[in-house]
Amino acid sequence: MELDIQCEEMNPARWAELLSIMKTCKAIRLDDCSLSSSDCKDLSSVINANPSLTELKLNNNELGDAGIEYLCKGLLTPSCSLEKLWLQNCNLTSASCETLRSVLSAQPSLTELHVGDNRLGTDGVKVLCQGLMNPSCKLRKLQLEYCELTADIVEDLNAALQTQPSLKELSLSNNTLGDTAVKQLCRGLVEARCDLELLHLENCGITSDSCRDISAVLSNKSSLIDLSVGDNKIGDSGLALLCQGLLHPNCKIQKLWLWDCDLTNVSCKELSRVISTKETLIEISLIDNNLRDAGMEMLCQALKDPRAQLQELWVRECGLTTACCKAVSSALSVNKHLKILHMGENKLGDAGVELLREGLLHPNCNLQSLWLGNCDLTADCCTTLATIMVSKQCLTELDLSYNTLEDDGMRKICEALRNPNCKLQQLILYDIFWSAEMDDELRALEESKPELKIIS
Amino acid sequence: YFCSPFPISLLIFTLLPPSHLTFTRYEKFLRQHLDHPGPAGPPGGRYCSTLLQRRRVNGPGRPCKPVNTFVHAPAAELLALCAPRHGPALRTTAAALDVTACRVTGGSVYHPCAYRAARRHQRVEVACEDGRPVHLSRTL
Repeated sequence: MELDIQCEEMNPARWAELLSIMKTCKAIRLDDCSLSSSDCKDLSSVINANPSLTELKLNNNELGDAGIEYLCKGLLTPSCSLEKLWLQNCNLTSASCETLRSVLSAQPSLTELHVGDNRLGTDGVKVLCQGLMNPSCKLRKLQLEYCELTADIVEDLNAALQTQPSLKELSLSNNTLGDTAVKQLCRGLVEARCDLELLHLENCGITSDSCRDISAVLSNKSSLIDLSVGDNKIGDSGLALLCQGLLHPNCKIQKLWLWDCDLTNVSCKELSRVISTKETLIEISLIDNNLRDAGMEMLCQALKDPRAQLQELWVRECGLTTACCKAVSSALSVNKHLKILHMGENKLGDAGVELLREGLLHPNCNLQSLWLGNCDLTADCCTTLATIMVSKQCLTELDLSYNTLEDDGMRKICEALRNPNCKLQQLILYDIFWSAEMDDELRALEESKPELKIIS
Repeated sequence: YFCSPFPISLLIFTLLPPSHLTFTRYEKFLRQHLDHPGPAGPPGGRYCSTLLQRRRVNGPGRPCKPVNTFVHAPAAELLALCAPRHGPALRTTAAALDVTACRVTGGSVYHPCAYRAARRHQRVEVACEDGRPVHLSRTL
């Protein structure tokens, strides 16, 4: 059994009720439930009494260092077999790291530790690294986002990476590491004993300067399948360096996140080569880069390459217009692999949807999820959208948020939803204005079609 | 912790599963777009992610709402704007109000959702229905 609660204020009666349930739970998730350090005493007893507990998620509760101390008493009991511990935004400081170090050293069942959004600081995480270096530690995932880390942490991280072979996933996003530290980290990773699979370095103050070393990790570590350098100003020159590693035969990247990286259409030539030749690549995010139509057209050309295996393409907010839709449509009519396409926040317009229609309706296109939020769509494209909704039975998710579809357009959408051929499971309609009558119609529709979820 | 002007609706949410039928469109508008008095200091991304989750806009299994504006004014101010029943549906406040514009970061599409927040002083355009605001159309 699992207990999964978000945003609930606890009163003593409810807490007592939950505590009795928790004694037999495999997973306990109490996210933003106004828990305090004293509640951790009770949770510690639960951990003590429940050896089947494998996941404990307490994100967004003000537990504080005192709370963690109580929790760890339970975590250190020999019968405890907890595997995943989430303590994001729990008001912890470096003082908690000593306690967590003892758990890391003594509890080989623990494979995931998520302690992001706590002011652990470099000194605190240095102590955690000591725990990581203990031979009994079998941690696989370590999440340290927003921990106020500085460049000084890298030496200790590298020492841990050298000695700890079990670590597979490391997230250091949203810490001001800077280029010098990231370069040092990457050189360590190339030498490391561990085979890292995931490395997230979003918003770490990286510029193109670091990209040669990140590229070296890509070409030396075939284990690395998930890389995010989003929210760093690496620019086209940085991307060109990254692509050298990405195109290396050793690189087996699957998921590449490059959102808000100051890329332009110049990068799309290199990215096209990666998309068309890197057969392991299944997901790429280029959100919030000024690729423009010319860049998108190059990416579409790559999608037509029979070697391209990409399943998810995210190009939200990329400065696209109607002009690129012909190329997208043409790619969709050839590419059989693409499942998810995010094109929101681009000025595609009704004419863009008209152009996309042919590709979307082509039998080769297997798209399951299409995101067109805030694309300057009006009621005029809803006949076409309705046709797509009833004809494209693999399409299960559609986002039309923030478009002024009005009642006229919404009526056509509703008509399509009522058609038994429409297999849509999720329709996302955030912040669209329609009349009270239309609202009633949508509610009735949702009730009559239980497989359909309308989100607004 | 962020002060909620609607402790009652939050309480109901915790007791009942979210259901369209439980809430009027006006209540939904309040839940998604009103937070009075709002955060004390300059809002960070956490303000947006926490409040959107508490108001049951975002949550497990739901896509992150990409853009959402919270107005830091009393509900009465927007009710007054919609009070004259006759007139256009879309109405703009005469004065600029304190608002926080939340924008999802490129890294999140499904829960958990991360945001960037920007505090602004802008006029607010809402759609009125039966004398109550039911839709936030834009800020300007």
